[in-house]
Amino acid sequence: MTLARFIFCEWLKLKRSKIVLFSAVSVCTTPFMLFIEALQTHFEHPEQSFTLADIYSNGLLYGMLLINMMIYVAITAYLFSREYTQRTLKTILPIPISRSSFLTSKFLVQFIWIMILMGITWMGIFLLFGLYHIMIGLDGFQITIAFVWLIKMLLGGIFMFITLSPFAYLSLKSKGIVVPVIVSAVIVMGNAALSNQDLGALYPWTGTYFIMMKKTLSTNYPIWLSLTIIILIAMIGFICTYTYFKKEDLK
Amino acid sequence: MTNLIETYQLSKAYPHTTVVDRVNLHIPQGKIYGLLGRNGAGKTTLMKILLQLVKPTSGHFNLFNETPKKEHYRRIGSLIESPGFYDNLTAYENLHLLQCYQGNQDNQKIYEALKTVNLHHETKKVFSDYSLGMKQRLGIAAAIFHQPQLLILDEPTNGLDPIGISQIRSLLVKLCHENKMTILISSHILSEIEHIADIIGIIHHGRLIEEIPIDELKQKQRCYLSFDVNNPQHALEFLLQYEPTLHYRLEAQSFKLYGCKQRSDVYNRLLIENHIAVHQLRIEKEDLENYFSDLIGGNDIG
Repeated sequence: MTLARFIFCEWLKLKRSKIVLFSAVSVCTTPFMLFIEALQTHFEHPEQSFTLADIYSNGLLYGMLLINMMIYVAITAYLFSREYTQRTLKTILPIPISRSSFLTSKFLVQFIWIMILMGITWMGIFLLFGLYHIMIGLDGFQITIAFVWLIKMLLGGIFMFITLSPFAYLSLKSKGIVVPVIVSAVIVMGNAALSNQDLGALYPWTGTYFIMMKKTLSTNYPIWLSLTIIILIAMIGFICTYTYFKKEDLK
Repeated sequence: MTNLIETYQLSKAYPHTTVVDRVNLHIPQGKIYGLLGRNGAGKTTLMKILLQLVKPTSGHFNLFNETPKKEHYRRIGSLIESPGFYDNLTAYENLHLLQCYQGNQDNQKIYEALKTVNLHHETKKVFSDYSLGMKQRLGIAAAIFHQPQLLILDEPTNGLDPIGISQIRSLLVKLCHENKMTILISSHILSEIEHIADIIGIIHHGRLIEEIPIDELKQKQRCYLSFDVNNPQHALEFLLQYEPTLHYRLEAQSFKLYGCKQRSDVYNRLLIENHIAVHQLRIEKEDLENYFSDLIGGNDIG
């Protein structure tokens, strides 16, 4: 009950926040990029054919490794650091509220937000390629296929949520949005470099995508190793975040 | 009288500095306790410890005569330094949010608190558009809107204009007398709290160096003779030859002699007979500001 109330409070805090609209618009970049790429391919190489499943597969790649990744880091940093930048903790903590529940409500809102944004990306692809299907025609444009990919994208969102926990810690530790965003740029560069390498299976942020797309099987690394690394990174992130926040003196 | 807050050897130390040093604070129920100290004296840290925002290094404290429990904090209202609220929300929404965290729903209480601090008309403006004074008033509204029994206010009049300061002072006195609230208020300006506080605690370099009822403090105000002369240094040296044990304070155009008001005629005659013109001789009472600065030994900038 308390947690539900805290989650409601977290949503209340987002009223008039520009980042809500900004994040929703930003995740539409993936569908637009795919749409433009598809149009370009159609006019330059009309002999090449692709299906809705191919589009969603590319959408998952862009989403999990590049665009959505950076947006999710930004919203994570915003959610966790705003209490410091707006100096609200000294108003809220003496109410009194449990620091753990407060943090858990933030993680849950972050999770819901990521799921919504994944849903928007999925819907964006479906609508834009529905238009493409009407104008040009697209193989395999079926709602059942789209729903299969919705589940995959939401699973991808869950993986992304757990591997974002170190960014929550960085946001608390640095008390701002700058450090996590810079680190995310580095991580995304790593994603870009490793997305076609076997080593990508051991890099937590590409490892999740490899598992989703069953690419780990084609690398030299066992899936359990990839999963262990992902879970380890997530655990370290969560443990550090909770430990730091619970022990921290508010200066 | 029951103490609502009692601290026992409460300390907070960081690797290179001790911010709060073995403080024994006693705040009686139904009184206004003024915590006075210069900037960096440890007032805010002490208040943060009481609100469990900072963990003490050693010592402990009691709230409402018991070891602090979660329930006690529901009966406390607080404002620490500048108020912290969500920039994108209005005053009402910010207080509504705090009420949600408390698990309450009472719009009337929010309205009354906003009316008390004269912010009830600001229905559209978000916190980021507030002036410094408005922000401070919202901070006070947030501290009192759930009608606490104990208020902990850290420099609550920061950023307020003189009329605002006077209104907040009156409000605090009213809350204490009519609603039987106990108030711990800090300030670095004595004049801000000497008119409302029942007890003053003076903190310096983290140590509580005096805890004294205001009536007793006023009795300590010393009388002195103030001589306005052309060359105060020379006049004072002359009197010191005559009476070397004099307690004095030398100023630019005058000097003060303490503890000898019955001998004003003697010193006046001595100076005049030795051709030192006395332009003015007054018997005055030392103000509390001087007492305070003497106590903390401070002429350095705080």
